[in-house]
Amino acid sequence: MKKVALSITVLLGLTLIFTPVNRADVVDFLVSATIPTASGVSIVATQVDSASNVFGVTVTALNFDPMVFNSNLGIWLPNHYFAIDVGVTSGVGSTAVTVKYTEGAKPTGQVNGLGWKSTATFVKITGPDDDQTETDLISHGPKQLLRDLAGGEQFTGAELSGGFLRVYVGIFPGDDQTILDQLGEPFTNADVPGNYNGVLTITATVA
Amino acid sequence: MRFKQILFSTLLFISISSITYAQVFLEDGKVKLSVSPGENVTGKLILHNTSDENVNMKVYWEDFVYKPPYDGSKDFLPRGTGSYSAANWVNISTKTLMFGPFAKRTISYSINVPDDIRQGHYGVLFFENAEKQIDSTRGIHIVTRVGCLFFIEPKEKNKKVDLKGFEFTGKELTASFTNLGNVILIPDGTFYVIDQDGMVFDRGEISKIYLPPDKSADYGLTLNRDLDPGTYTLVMTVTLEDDDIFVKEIDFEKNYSSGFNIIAIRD
Repeated sequence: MKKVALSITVLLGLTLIFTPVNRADVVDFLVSATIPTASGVSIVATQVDSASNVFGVTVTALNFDPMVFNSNLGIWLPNHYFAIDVGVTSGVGSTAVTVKYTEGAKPTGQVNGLGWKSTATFVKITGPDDDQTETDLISHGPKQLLRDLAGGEQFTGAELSGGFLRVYVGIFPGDDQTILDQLGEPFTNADVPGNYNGVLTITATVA
Repeated sequence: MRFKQILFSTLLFISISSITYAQVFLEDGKVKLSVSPGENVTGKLILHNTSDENVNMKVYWEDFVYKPPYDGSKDFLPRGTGSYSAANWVNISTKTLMFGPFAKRTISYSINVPDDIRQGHYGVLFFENAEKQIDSTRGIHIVTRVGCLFFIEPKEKNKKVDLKGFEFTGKELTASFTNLGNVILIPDGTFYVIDQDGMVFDRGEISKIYLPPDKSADYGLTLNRDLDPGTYTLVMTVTLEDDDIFVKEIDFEKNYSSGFNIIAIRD
């Protein structure tokens, strides 16, 4: 009986001795990770057939040649337009996109350049590749003359959240009264023959 | 045989479809520095080529300013022309970059802070695709660039704010937010609404603004829930970074007929 009492006493003593030690072994580890405010942009420009709206090859410049004269309308038109998909990558914070047009060269004697004769239409693409939905970005037009992008059209990360920006760029065929009111004009025989060009700058930064 | 033709066509289409501009990913989209007068600050930026093509890039500095309505929209300006330019303080280790496929590159920067810095100075380091196009005389040349924003601000920051003119329009509460300090303010705000019984009835976030010194902008929130007639208190908690926080309490009532009326505002 004495041995049992002694054993219990020893056990209790050991428990008291080691309990603080065991408590000291409990350490709180702070688990943390910092994701930087990363920013990235990817661009895919694709030629689209005007008649069928079928997407064709990807391109690195928007060349509208060959321009063909439409005798019914009395204007020059290409057989294609372009779709530019702008994908942004963000860490913490959202990435904003700016699309800016800078007028380039035009033939000597020509008054209005390519920016008066071409348009950009802004849409947001959502959904999987095989079932995409296009939503017009109304607050950005959605259609504007390129010359009206000289100040830069800005798209916030919130606007593009859950999808990506697609910009359709084409030669203006004169069929939209709103664009005509904004002094847009198609290519006609009144325009000076020669080369017309411009630069579309797509910028991505965090907000 | 027909299956092979279809498979080949599909693979060809996929390979053509995947031709894209060479892509660049910047690890740090924003560098925020608190500096002392006369200090020399150095740092690095890391970029990745996420494509399987070689990439050539131009590296250059521009100024930027946030512009009305101060929702994050910016104007990019030639270096040295912005109101709070830091262009003359910053040196970059290179003006061009060449990447191999899927390569990573590091860019060093050095900033010589002048002795008389009294306010925040800002700029953006751009990395621009420098690929030549086959024929740039016709059509539209596409330029893509990604930028790293630099916020170079004195350690002695003054974050004085004037928030006044609270007004309800339907379920939207707006006020005029004026930055009376010496650095850009990007207030991060939340709100909650408590009813007469002290129960939280609604909560949400306040729209962000990006406000340079001496500028004012609308600062607002929209209630998410429809409130029954009665009196409520709306508590706004606004963080100005670096643990600078201020709180506004707004007592208001919702009437059957006249909508919302503000009763009292407390700090």
